[in-house]
Amino acid sequence: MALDKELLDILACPKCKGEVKLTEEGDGLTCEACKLKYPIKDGIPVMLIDEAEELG
Amino acid sequence: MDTNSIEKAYKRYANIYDLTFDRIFHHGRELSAGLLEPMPGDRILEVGVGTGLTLPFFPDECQITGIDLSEHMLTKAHQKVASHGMKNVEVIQMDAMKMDFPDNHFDSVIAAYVISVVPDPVCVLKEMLRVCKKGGRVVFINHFQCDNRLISSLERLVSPLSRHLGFKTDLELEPLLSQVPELSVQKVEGVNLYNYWKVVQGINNKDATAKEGVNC
Repeated sequence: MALDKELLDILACPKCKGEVKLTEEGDGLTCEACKLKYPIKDGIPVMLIDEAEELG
Repeated sequence: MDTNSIEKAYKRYANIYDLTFDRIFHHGRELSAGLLEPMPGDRILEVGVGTGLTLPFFPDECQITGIDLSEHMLTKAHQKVASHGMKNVEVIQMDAMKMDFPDNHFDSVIAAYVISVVPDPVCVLKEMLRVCKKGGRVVFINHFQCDNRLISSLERLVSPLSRHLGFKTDLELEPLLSQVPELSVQKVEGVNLYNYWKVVQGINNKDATAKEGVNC
């Protein structure tokens, strides 16, 4: 199940409420401002700050 | 109270949830979904979508977004969505008290058996009103305080959190509603076993121009 584009457009970073972008691999949503990646696990975006990975 | 505890509790629960609780609460879900009075093209948010038991009651012509804090419950929901070919449904792991959706995005918002298992029910209701358009329908179903011990223990069983973590099992409807005056209640209906659960249907009468910032 691919993520709906409209849904992607409305999702915001839970930390700063800024824009998130889909990674090229499609495995997560990244917030450039917070340098965080919210993983997409089994097609489910995990929009939780505690679960986010720090971007290098 | 942290989100990890909530996730852990529901991890143990995800596999048996449907088998155990679908029959008891089926009617309430169906009734609640109907009270949203969905129109084709509506964007509907289900807060606490869990394993996705309410999803079959939404029309195919609506765009459904389901959120839940439990990864394991959501995995079940995701499997249902895939196996039933529900192309109009998306599920996201998200905290209902801090939703990542913009204001006024959804046409209607529903929460089935959620309000008493969250740390702050008022906060969740206010978030539901924030992301829902003015004039949109907000429906929730829950057990509110009653004297029947059988039902109270059943409610505790349904919500592992309330038992293990001391969440509210004594939630009273009227004081709760008084804290969300922007919800104009249209209907309160008893449902399920002995009518001890209540479905509340309301219209979102918030001031859409005001900055709705919800701080919990």
